[in-house]
Amino acid sequence: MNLFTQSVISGLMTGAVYTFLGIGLVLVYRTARILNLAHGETFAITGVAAALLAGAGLPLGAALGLAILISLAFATGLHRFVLRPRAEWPAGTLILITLGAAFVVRGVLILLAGTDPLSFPVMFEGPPVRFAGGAMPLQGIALVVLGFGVSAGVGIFLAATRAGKQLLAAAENPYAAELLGVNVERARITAYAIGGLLGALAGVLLIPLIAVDFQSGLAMTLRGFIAAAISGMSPVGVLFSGLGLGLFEAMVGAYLGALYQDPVMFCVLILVALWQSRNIRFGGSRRA
Amino acid sequence: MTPRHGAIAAALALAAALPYLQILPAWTTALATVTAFMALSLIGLNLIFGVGGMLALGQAAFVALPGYAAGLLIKFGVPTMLAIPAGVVAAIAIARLVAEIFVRLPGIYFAIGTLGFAFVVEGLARAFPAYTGGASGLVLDPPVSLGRDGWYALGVASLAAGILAFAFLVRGRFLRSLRLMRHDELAAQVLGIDVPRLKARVFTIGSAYSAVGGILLAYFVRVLAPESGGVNASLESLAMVIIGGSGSLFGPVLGAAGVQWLFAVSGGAAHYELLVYGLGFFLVVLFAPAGMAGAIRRAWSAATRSRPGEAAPAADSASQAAAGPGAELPARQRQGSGVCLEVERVAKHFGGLRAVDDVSFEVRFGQIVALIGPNGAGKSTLFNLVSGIEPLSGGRVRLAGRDIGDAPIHVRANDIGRSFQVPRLVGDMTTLDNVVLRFDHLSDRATEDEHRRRARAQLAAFGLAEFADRPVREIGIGYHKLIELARASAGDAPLLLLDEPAVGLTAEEVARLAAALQRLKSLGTAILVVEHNMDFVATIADEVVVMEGGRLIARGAPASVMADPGVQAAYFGALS
Amino acid sequence: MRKFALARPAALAAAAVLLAPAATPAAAQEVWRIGEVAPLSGPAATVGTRLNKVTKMWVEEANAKGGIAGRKIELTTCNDENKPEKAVACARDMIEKGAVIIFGNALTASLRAIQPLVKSGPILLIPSPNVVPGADTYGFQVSPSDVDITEAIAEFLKANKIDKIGMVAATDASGEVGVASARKVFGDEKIELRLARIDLRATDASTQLARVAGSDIKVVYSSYTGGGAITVVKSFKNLGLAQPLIVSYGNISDAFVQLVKDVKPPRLLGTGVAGIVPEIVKDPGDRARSQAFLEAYAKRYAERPDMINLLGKAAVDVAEAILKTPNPKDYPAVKTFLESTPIPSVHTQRFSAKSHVGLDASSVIIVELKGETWVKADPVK
Repeated sequence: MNLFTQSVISGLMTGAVYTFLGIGLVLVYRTARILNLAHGETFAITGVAAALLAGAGLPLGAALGLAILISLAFATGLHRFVLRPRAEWPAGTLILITLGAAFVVRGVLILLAGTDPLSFPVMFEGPPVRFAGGAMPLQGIALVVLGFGVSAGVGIFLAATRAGKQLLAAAENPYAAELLGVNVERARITAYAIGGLLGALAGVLLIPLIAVDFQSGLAMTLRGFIAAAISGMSPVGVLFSGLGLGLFEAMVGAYLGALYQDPVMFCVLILVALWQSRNIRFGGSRRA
Repeated sequence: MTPRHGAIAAALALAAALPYLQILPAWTTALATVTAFMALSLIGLNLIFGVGGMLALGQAAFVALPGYAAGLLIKFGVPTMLAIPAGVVAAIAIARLVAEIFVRLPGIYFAIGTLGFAFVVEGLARAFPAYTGGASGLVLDPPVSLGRDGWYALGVASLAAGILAFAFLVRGRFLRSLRLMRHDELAAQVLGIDVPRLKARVFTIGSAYSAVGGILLAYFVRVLAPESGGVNASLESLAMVIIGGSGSLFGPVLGAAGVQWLFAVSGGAAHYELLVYGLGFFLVVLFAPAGMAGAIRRAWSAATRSRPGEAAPAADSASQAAAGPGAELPARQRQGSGVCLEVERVAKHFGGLRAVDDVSFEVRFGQIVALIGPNGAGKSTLFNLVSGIEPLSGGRVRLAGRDIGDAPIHVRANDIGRSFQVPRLVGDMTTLDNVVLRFDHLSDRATEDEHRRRARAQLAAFGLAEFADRPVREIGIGYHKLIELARASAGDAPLLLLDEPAVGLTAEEVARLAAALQRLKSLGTAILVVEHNMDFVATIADEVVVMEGGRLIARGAPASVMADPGVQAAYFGALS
Repeated sequence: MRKFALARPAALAAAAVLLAPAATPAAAQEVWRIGEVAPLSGPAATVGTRLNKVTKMWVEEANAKGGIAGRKIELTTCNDENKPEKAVACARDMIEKGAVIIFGNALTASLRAIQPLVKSGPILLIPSPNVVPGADTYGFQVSPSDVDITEAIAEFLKANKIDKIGMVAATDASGEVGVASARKVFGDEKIELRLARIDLRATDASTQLARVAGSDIKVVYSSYTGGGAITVVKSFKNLGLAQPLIVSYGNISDAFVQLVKDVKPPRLLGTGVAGIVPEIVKDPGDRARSQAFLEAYAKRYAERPDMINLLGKAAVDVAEAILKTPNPKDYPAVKTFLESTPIPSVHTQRFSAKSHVGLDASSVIIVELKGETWVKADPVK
């Protein structure tokens, strides 16, 4: 086995998870100006629901489909019924509302699923693909391809298409966007829906490789948040920050030891935050 | 002592005695001791987040740091009695150092930075078990043995001292400044507040609370685990502050006690405690932003039928009675003479765009200059260059002969009073307090009472006396411009920058505004006004400066400038 | 909904009044007060919940039979959320209320915080292998220590003539203790140790495994006990590694079997006390007691008990023995009693004046998952 090849493979898989969760956070942040701390709950809800439904005898496909729908309903419902009526509230308070929603989901999931971790079978079965002294499971390939593919699709859509730019414009200046004929509300609910879908997809693809429990949500939010923050909340940048984080984590784990991962990684995060904010002053508030 | 104070004192005495009365199930001395230390450390987060509005997502790091610092010192042979205070001092020093970084991070980046810091502290604690005890936890031996009651007494006493110190510290000028900074950082700078310095101060004081509460808790528990300095612990701290009532004096105590008690009574209840806690937090942020403290306050005022809010002191009432709507501006020293503001070949480039290009003009003491031009001409950018909000790309700005081109906003604020196109007042504060804020940060050291008296007189001079004690948000939008003018011209700033002061005012209000400006002018103030209302400009301006496309295209007396064909083409052409 | 905020203080007060009578014991001197500190939520919720199930079952059964030595048991379970400050508050309260025994069904940091509180009693029973109480304290460990478990692995390796092992350990306390034991034991036994740590958030363990599971390594050991342990097993399978994988005693459970049944490595081994496979227990008494417990637990909770449950059972058996002594509140006497008397349980506990660890390496076996049940491990070729 080749340690370097395997580190790259592991880094790709881990990076796909970072990106998958990061892009949903970026999307919502850029369209609705909310840091959605309940984002990772879409991952946990999908995982727990799929595991329970499949465990209850539903065919895997149906269980996954239903689980994704539940997660979508949560993501859009959070926006429609909780956040939208309070759109004028300060950003900090809205962040805390999403944190509250995450706490509530955690409380519900522990009642539904107990404390033991759950999982469900992979979608892509078969022996791992081997190359250059490394091995990669089919599900892992799907995770990497879809993780980066879908995220790249979303990133390119936002950065390069007219509709995507309108979505972003909706957040930069909702009033101007309305004047230009952008339906801000539709843009936002779309963002939440896409975010929820991405979180759910991440769950469907990743959980068979690990497991899920009632408190996976916040941990996943944190992962996405790290990637999103390092990218400076950029829909294209998050692809690279996710990939970079994944490779970094794998390389540190392989050559340096996992104990040093967090101190190094988060010092980098602080430096990036400093760099990102070098030109912003006065709390990013509007200029005189 | 008012009935309210009496009730608070009685409630506090009862709260302190509660664990011994055994009337509240699961509220034991040990839990109350833990809660007291926790609440003490939460006062710090409450100051940083609740009052200062800085979303600190990693405050638990500063709760754990002093314990680790003390542990390290003890490992290197420092006696425990010395290591404990040294650990606290080290933690505060670290907080002061990282504050230098964090306070420069705006909004969400502050949250990210502090979050990252918590990860770093937790990670380092795990990574070096030889020094920190690692994931298994650092064992700390208390230097003196305190019994159950001893610890509880220490908890109550330190918490009471912490609350008292908070009440003593967070009031008056400091509190007003924090509220303004929280509401609007730019307005705070323009009023003369050194925002990064204030933030660093708040962060350091807050972290000192975290550190003191943290080390007491660590020695009570005797074990310090890396997670206690991590992100989850930080988020839980935030949740407790919010549930208790963020920004209020007793919020941290109520939040810590409420949450800890809730977990204790519902503990072992088949996993329901997480949902109860989650719902509690969720409903509080949604429906009771003032938390438990706010609910109690409301219940109290409903019970006593008295409106909360400070009554105007007698001295103030007297001056209020004397100051009718027509009163003059307070007498003061005349300003100097000659050139006040000198703008020399000033330029500002944004990338390839020349927003302001080679502009020179001057404003003399006792002169009103109007800056006009079509939208996008660079007027607001020029204002920002003079205020220091944007750095210069070229040229010089001189104030009474001094080059101020490199001075930060808050330093210039001492000499420049400024109003905004959209008034930047704090809606939750009274009109009086909004104006007192200006006096707070002028570099004279008058007393609080003196500042309040001057602010009241200032409001009276602008015919705003009746609004003095009402929160700004309750006052009609039309008056906000006038209030802001009153605030900008408060004190003896030689230069006033007014951004469209007459927009949205009725004819009568415009007349009052013109009179006020004439009076300021007669006192020697130099006034630079951006204005679109040409009649108003013609009435008040001694000189008009016209900008277009970032360049100065005309300058002179109002009548002659407006007759200039070039101005007509550029300005009125653009308008039609 | 807005009423909630106003109604909150009132609701809290009402709750207090309603709950108050429940907290006042009916007959104060007629019961055995027993405390249990267990993480029922938070990252270690699985461990706390599983231990708590056994404690509850024991109290139900004992009280149904009229109690022990004529007194019923009053159990107070306190959720420490795996936070030492909570554990300390819980334990202090229990001691103050006169608990005769405290079940320290918690993890490392919490246990280290509770230990100093029982300097003069009551007895603290510790099912975790990660915290070894001193023989001069009132703490008693009812499981083999982590060193014992590691020694059992070393025995197994030597029996199979294997002199190298790859090990994956988490960055949490169990990993830290596991690494310390492995360095000591494998070092003493001249077994080459190849080690990699894995972060608690990791979603893939293939680099760690690639590092420690080279072709010259015949056995891989994952000491990971938390929820993330499954990640190691699945990555192992995904890499297509052929070596036997030994997982930690914390994973010898039905829940774990359910998780890995589709992704099982060729051979999945685990550490555990022999009672988990009663057929191979040599002592007939131990065998019968293990068998009886496994059946009773399965009947009560409709699930198969696991290693954690078994350790919980050891703790309640020792507790029961203590309550049957003439004066369980005479802690020095109880200490002497425990140090001199073997306590029959799923594994007979043998404490001594020199060691408060009730089991040793001889009680640990290496098990193997065959089908959906754990049996004694076959040799490794």
